[in-house]
Amino acid sequence: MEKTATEEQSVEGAQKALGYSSMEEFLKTIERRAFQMARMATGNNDTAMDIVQDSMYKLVEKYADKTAQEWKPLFYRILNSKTIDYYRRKAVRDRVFPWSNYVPNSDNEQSTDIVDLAPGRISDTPDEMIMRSQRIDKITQSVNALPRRQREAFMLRCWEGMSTIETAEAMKCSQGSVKTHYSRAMHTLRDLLEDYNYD
Amino acid sequence: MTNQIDHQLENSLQQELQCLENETEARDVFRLAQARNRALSQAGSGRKKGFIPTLGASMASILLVAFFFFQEAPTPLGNETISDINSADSAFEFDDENVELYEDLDFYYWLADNEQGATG
Repeated sequence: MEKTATEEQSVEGAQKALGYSSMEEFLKTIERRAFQMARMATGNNDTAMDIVQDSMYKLVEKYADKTAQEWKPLFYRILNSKTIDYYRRKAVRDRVFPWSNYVPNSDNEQSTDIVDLAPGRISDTPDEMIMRSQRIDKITQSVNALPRRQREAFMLRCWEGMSTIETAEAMKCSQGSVKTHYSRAMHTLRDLLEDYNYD
Repeated sequence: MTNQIDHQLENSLQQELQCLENETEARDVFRLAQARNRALSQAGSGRKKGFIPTLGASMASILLVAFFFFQEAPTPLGNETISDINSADSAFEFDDENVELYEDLDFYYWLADNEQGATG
């Protein structure tokens, strides 16, 4: 009986450390980041939304009974998998319907709108907004220029702040591979963002 | 030195990306909340909802196939039907007597030849 109480206490402690205890809370904490990651990878709001929704659905359906600590790596594994599926479908579509690339995409047009892309804080001046928008554009382009595995490692390690172990779990590879991918990603980004002011 | 630059770059990128995340448009935040609620509500009942139509469709397919199979398959022929067909095609009936007649046909041919020879 005492052991059960101790176990319960440790589970509660772990949940407090994670910042979420239910699936709903977990999804709330990661949904914006996941959406921005998917949008960065696909360059399209609607597609990113679909990917995030599918990932949420699959996580809840298949892995709701797993422990809260396992949700994050599992969710990002699903998200990466859905993003790869999107690339595959797009590659096939581009091959079969090559002219589809030339169709103007209203969503992409919308995303290049500075005001829409960076709504900004109330205190921001238009100049600051433009500069930040340009910085975000530059970062997006540089991140998208990375090979897929390096990009995944960068997103999960740097943006999501996951540990090497968690990242390895999400990417389904060894911790050594994660370190290599991340190191190469940072090296490439350092070169690509040479003129980027990060002081 | 490189490590320090990497660390600075890492921190700076992290901040920029977190800003981007926090500045997600209200429209997208609303759609994300909708997606979350839909995932949480549908996933629990997804199996039950999908199971009955799938089962119904499967059963309907089986019944349809079975119906066409039994409709198109020829009705099994009984002895009477066979004899009816045979009697319609020819007046010949394959009973035991006719079989014996065929078996003895060579004898009758020989007998006829002998009779012709005797008379001729």
